[in-house]
Amino acid sequence: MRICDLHIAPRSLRDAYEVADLAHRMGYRCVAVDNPDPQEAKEYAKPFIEAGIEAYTRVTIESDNWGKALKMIRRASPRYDLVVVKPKSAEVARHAARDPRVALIQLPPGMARYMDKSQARLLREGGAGVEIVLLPLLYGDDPRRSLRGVMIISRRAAAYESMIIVTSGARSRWELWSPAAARALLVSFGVPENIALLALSGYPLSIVSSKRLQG
Amino acid sequence: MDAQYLLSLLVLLIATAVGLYAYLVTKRMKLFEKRIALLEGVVERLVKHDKVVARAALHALRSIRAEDFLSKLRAKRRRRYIAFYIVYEGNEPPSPQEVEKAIIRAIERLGGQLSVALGGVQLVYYDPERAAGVIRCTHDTKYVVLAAMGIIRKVGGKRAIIIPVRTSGTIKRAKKALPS
Repeated sequence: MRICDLHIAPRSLRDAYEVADLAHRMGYRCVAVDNPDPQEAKEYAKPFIEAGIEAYTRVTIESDNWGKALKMIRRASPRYDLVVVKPKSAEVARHAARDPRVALIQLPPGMARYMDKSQARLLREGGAGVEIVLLPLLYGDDPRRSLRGVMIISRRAAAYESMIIVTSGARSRWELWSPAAARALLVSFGVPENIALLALSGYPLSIVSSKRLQG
Repeated sequence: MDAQYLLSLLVLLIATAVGLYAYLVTKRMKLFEKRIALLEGVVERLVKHDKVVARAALHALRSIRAEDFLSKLRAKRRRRYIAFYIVYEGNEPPSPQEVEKAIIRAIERLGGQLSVALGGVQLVYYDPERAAGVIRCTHDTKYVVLAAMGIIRKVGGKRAIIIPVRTSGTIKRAKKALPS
């Protein structure tokens, strides 16, 4: 079983080496390095490959207009292994879900209600998954709001049979989540144990294998 | 004259006999009524007694059920031992008190004080040299404890991450899973 974390965003090469070392110790065997510059993303992916971890590059596109987002997706898809869209409006969320070039839709906790039946159907049509980033849970005094958002997204995605992908969004090794803790968090939200395990291993691997070929 | 006298005597005798009979019947009826009232009283007392007996029996049954329920609860409270190690900043590993405090505070933050109370969370083993230990909780709060371990980023004021290695039903196996 290969555990994946498809969102690592180291800010320097030193951070990348530290994260790679700890990720290997935690049991991760597949990661995706996020960076707006494709060359830097490839450079930061090297420490992971040296540590024996399969590493891919990814970019996060943030937009509230589908026209602009589409242009950015066209430009980014040949340069990166995975393209992730962080929608700022319902229009972008719906269109991005159907686009075959988009690997993941990163719904922020505030947009949890967009994860409905139609969104799940569109995600299945496009073969994309819903990304659940655990980074916001680590910051802020009151984690209730972000916890609630993450809980709604994960529960709905599991109920509508969409692919859930849990990622840490770690910028340094202190923000990395251990696979057991991430899985336990999903289970304590009410997601079935087998789906929680798939969110860390099966679903990310299928996303990587299908979307990389398309890219 | 004699015939008339005899007839009136006969009528008198008959009337006396009827009156006597009526008196006897009334007396018997009263006695019968008294006996019925007595019987009713006995029956009422019996019913009351039966009610008390029935209530006592119900209580006994309930207490048996409660005992069964409690024994089931006792039997279902299974313990889990979570082996973990800590990645910490600096050269000095965190103390056991700091580790336990950090874990309990994280569980409180994630699941509330009820989870801490129901979980019976306790640090049962800790080796400061390896910065590894074993924490005990109940089987139904296992996932909350594991998730709480994930949100810990500071132990004793220093940056640290707690990494769960294995969950086991015995402390012996949990200790075996710890990294050397």
